[in-house]
Parts: sequence; C-alpha cells; structure tokens
Amino acid sequence: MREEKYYKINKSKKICILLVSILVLIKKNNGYAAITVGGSSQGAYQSIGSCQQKDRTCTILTSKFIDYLKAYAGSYVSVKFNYKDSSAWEQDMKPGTWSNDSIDDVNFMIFSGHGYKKGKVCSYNTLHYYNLNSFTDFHPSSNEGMSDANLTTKEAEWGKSGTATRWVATYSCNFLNTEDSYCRNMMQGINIMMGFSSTMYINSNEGMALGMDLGLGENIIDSFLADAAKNQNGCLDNEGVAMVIYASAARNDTIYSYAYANSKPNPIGGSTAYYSITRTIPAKQ
Amino acid sequence: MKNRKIEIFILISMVAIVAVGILGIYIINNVSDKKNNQKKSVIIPEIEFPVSMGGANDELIFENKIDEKNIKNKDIIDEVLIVSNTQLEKKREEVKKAFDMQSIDITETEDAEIYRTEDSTLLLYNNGSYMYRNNNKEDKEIHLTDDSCIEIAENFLKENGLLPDEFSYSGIGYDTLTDLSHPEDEIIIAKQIYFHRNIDNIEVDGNSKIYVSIDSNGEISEAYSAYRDVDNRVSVNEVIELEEAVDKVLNSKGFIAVEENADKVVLENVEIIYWEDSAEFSTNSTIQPVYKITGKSYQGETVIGEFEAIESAVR
Repeated sequence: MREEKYYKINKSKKICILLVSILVLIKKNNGYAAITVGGSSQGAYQSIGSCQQKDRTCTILTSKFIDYLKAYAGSYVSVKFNYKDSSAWEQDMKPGTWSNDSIDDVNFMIFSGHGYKKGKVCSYNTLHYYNLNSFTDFHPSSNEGMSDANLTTKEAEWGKSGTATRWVATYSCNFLNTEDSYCRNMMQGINIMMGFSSTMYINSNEGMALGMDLGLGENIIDSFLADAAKNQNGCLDNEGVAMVIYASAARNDTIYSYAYANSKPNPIGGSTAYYSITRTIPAKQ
Repeated sequence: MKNRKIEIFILISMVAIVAVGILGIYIINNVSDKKNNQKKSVIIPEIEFPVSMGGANDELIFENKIDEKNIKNKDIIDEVLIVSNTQLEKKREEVKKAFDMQSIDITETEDAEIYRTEDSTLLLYNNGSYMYRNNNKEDKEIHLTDDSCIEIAENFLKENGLLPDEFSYSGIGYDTLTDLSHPEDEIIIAKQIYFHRNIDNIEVDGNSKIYVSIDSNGEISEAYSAYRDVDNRVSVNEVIELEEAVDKVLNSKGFIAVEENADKVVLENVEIIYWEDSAEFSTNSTIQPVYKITGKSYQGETVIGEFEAIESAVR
C-alpha cells in the first residue's frame, strides 16, 4: 500500500477559498470535464535511499502545489495520487507500464526530484529516483545510472492514445536540457510540457504559486514561466532556463478551458505544430 | 537693596534647580529607552533557503582560506530589520492605479486580493507583494533593444511610484519562441527587467525583487514586486559565530551554489549581507543579516567557476 499525505489547510482558509473556487468555476468552466491530478516526488535521497544526491525538500513543493490547486479549484480537481519518497518510483512517470495510478491516468502530472542531464549517468536526460520500482529496494550508491532509477527522455513518451495525460510539470534540473536530442520526445499527445533545461532551485513557494494560479484559471504556460522567474532569480550563480514545449493550439490552455478536449495532438514530428518558449533567468549581478 | 539681591539670587537658583531637574529626567528617560531598546528581542524565524537541485559531488573537498579578521560589513551583524505593511493600503492603491484596476470588482481570498478583467489579472498578496499579468499578449518578435526595455521598465515603475530608491537594475532575461519544425528560426518575444534591493548600500539577497516583462509592443505584459518596508531595527539575542556557519557550508547546509563538476571548493571571502524573504506567501517579518561566503570551484587544480554559500548569522 502506498502512502498518501496532504498538507492540511485551516478551516477559515478553506471557506474563503471555496467561495472563490465557486466564482472561478462559474466563470471559467465552459463544460469541460473535471481534471485529475497526480504527483510523484522524492526528497530523502540519502536519509532513506543510498543515493549520491543530497536530500531535498521536493515532496513539500509537490504537496503544496496540489494543496493550492485543490484549494482554489475545489471539486473541479480530483487528486488521484501523490506518491512521495519511498512510495514514489520510476513507474509513476513511465507510460504504458502501470495501471490506474501512473502518469497515463491523470490529466495533470507533477514531478519533483533530482535530475541528471545527458551523459552524467545515462545517455539521455533523466528524472532520478533513489529506489528501483519498490519502496524496499534502493539503487546502490555506486550506480546512479540504473535503468529502474531513471526515467529517461527516451522513455517519456507521454500522452499516447488511450492515456489521460494533458499537462506535465517537472521540477528538476536539466530534464529539458537541449543537449539531449530526445528532450522533446515527451510530446506524443500531451498539450504542454513544463520544466527546466538548466540547474534549478527547489523552493516550495513556487509550487504554491503555480497551484494558486492554475486554480484561479490563469494561463498555464504564462503562470509556469512567471512563477519560475519569481522564485528562481536571485538564487543562481549562473543563468537559469525554464522551458515549456506545447502543441500550438494549447498556447492559451487553462485547466478550465483547453485545446484537444476530445482528441489529442499528433506526436511531435507529425502534422501538429509544436513550439517551445524558453525563459532565461539571469544570475544576480 | 540687599533683600532685592537675595530674592534675585533665590529666583535664579530655583530656575537653575528646575532646569537641572528637567535635564536629569530627560537624560534618565533617554538612557532608559536605549536600555529598553537593547532589551527588546524578536523571534527570529529560521530562513528556509532555496536548495540547488544541481548534482554537486558528494565527495566535495573544502579548503578554508578565510581570514576571519576581514569580514566585510561585520558591524551590521547584531541587528535584524523589522518589516511591516504600515503603508499597505497606500501601496495597493498605487498598484491598482498603475495597472488601471481601480474600478474592477475585488475578489478576496485568504492569500490575496484578486482583480481580473477579460485581458489581465492583478494579485495583491497579503504581505504587500503583487503580480500583474496581461493575458491578451501576442507572441511576436520584440525589436526593442535591451536598453530601451530597461528604460521602459524604469520609467513605468518610477512614474507610478513602484520603484523605491533602494532598488536598482540587476539583470535581463529573455523569452525565446521556437517553432520546433524550424528550430533555427528563434525569435525573442519578451524581455524581463530585474531590480534588486540594497539597504544602506548592503546587498539584499533572498526572495525580494521587482521584475517587469516588456512585450513586442513595448507594453508591460508582467510585473512582480516583493519587498516590505523597514520599520525598526532590533538587537539580536545571539550572533552565530563564523566557525558554525562554515561548518554548515562543509555539511552542505544552507544555500549553496557550486559548479556541478567541481571536486574541490576553496572558501576565500566572507561578508555580511541581508536576507529578505517577501515572496508572495511569506509571513517572515524580518530582514536578517547572513554570512555570504564566496570562493572558487575547482576540478583538480583547475578553477572551473565561482562558489557561493549563504548561512544564517543570527538566531
């Protein structure tokens, strides 16, 4: 049994936010079906796992994103799972291999954890897990590159026919690093991919801000880029790069109003037009 | 005549005694106030430093070449700055006016006041920070130079009273649009102009900042501001010694920025700067002095970049 924990928001906040949620829903919901959300995050890379990567507060970012999204969107958002630490593993993000509780089964998926760029431990950029598709089996510290501990860009063929996946946000370093020619491979039928093509810094405020913005019905792409600019700038010794990749028709997606409501964009390389926007975030001078 | 002189003498003496008395009371009160001020203490929240997700080498070797006698700005280490929102309503009116949201109905949540039109959104967060977005912008190439964008951003903020003197230009970012079927045809569609804060000429690090995004029409497409006014200065109960701060660096605690492929770091310099967290959901009421420890990142004997760590200096 995998554990799910959510941060609790106090009652008065819930009442206030419920009222706003109702107003937002009345204004924004144009008959679109409610959306499902899933989370997969790891933080205790060393205190639980035997990873060379250090512990990070990634599970807090993911949980706060889900809390704020749920708080502002109300019953329009259904949280299907939020796997954390040893309850999270590669198959949460791996398409086609898991039933009912993986990225294939939710409309919005968020990942937070360490990431490796191409050449570091694998031949592709990866989302890195400290366990091997089991909460009892950790990868040895001498082998960061084990297949089951890394979801590669080549494996990340998200959104294929029959899956629910529409939007994916990854809070990790380098998953969209363009040195990897597969860095856009995930566009197999999802509307929008969000992440970083550089080193990034974990700050739970960024998850809260994105959850609130999306729950309010703000533009998904613009919100992700703005929340990155707010939270990443000033933290970096080098320039940071936030990136979104999207099917052209999904440029103005909100969680309440979106393209391909009853279909899917064609895989990248086909007839659907795809674009990317990178936002460089300068190091402080 | 003699009696007259005695009366004058007594009168002058009495005036002198009263004057000395008043002066004495004034001095005692002032000394007492100063002592009270020194006794005032404030609960200093622990800083939640953002942490790098970069893959720093776990076997990183640290070499400490810091000269403890040369800590820059050491005189600010024993005071925290208390921030507040005494001018909150005035600031909010200025922001609403700047973005033409004065006559828009408000929606309130526990986190923010929200103003929305068909084309734009303004979030006024409880702690005084704000976010503005134009939701109707077009992704077209921007032909304005960096300098023109900086000028537009500065003028807009200054004309609307949204750029305090403590803030100055600190960097520029770019939104680049790429048609993935023709990746060579990249165009820049917006530029973000960033401003950071100095207090008494001391750098302020952390989450306080102002940025403005300029679109292809030279219009403001995004604006964000996060800072709070300093209300008071209070002595701290305990200053953290440099040795303890360096220990935290050696154990990779706090804010650490190191080159990804480094295997050795040499710590060289220390200065005291301020740390402010006024990001939209922050309830932190202090701006704290922190240690900024800098040096070089090495791979073998080759310098491959800079190193920076920020550690708490008070508790």
